[in-house]
Amino acid sequence: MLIKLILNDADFETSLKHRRIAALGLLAVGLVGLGCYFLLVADSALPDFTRGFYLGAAAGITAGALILFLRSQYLLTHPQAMKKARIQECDERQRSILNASFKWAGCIVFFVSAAALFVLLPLSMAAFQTLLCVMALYAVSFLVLSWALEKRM
Amino acid sequence: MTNRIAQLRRDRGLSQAQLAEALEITRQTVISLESGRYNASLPLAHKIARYFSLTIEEVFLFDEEG
Repeated sequence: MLIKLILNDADFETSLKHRRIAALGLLAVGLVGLGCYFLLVADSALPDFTRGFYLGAAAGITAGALILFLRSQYLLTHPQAMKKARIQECDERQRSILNASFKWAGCIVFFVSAAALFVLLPLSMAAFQTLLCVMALYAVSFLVLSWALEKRM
Repeated sequence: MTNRIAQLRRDRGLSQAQLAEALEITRQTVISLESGRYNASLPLAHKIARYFSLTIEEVFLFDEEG
């Protein structure tokens, strides 16, 4: 969904071509993850949870990339299906809903994370610092993007 | 802002699906526009007005205070 939102050019056919390339990039990431799992993690002494995370994340990314690639390829070669998908994805109300959902989800996650910092500090300094870094990255990204968009619009 | 889309559509004997197809938007968007839950962007308002061969002001009724 995030890739669809980002890779949404004025021309839907161009978007699909870009998505196909992005899918190949994601597929490479997934395959690297699976390679790491089978070559380095599967027989290691790491806890079950860690090994499960490697396998689940790598398999999920690989499957998602394959679905994205196949769907993009199918739409590029089937004009009727492409027209239907274009209307569905380029519909301005759908895009407004998606943008508003992202906005509110971002707000909720940010405020819940701020509250979670108070809980994490006495429990785990590493988790506290990680969450703090993620929130700082969010804030910096927000400021940089606001500045960049201010220049563009 | 209110609009006359539902009335104009019925006057021309069109279904919501047919209007959606002609405007290349989803039927849900037509429903939302007609019920006033969603306001069209300027490009879509222009497309709708042009489809009905009217001006934007004849299709969309702007509230002076809003």
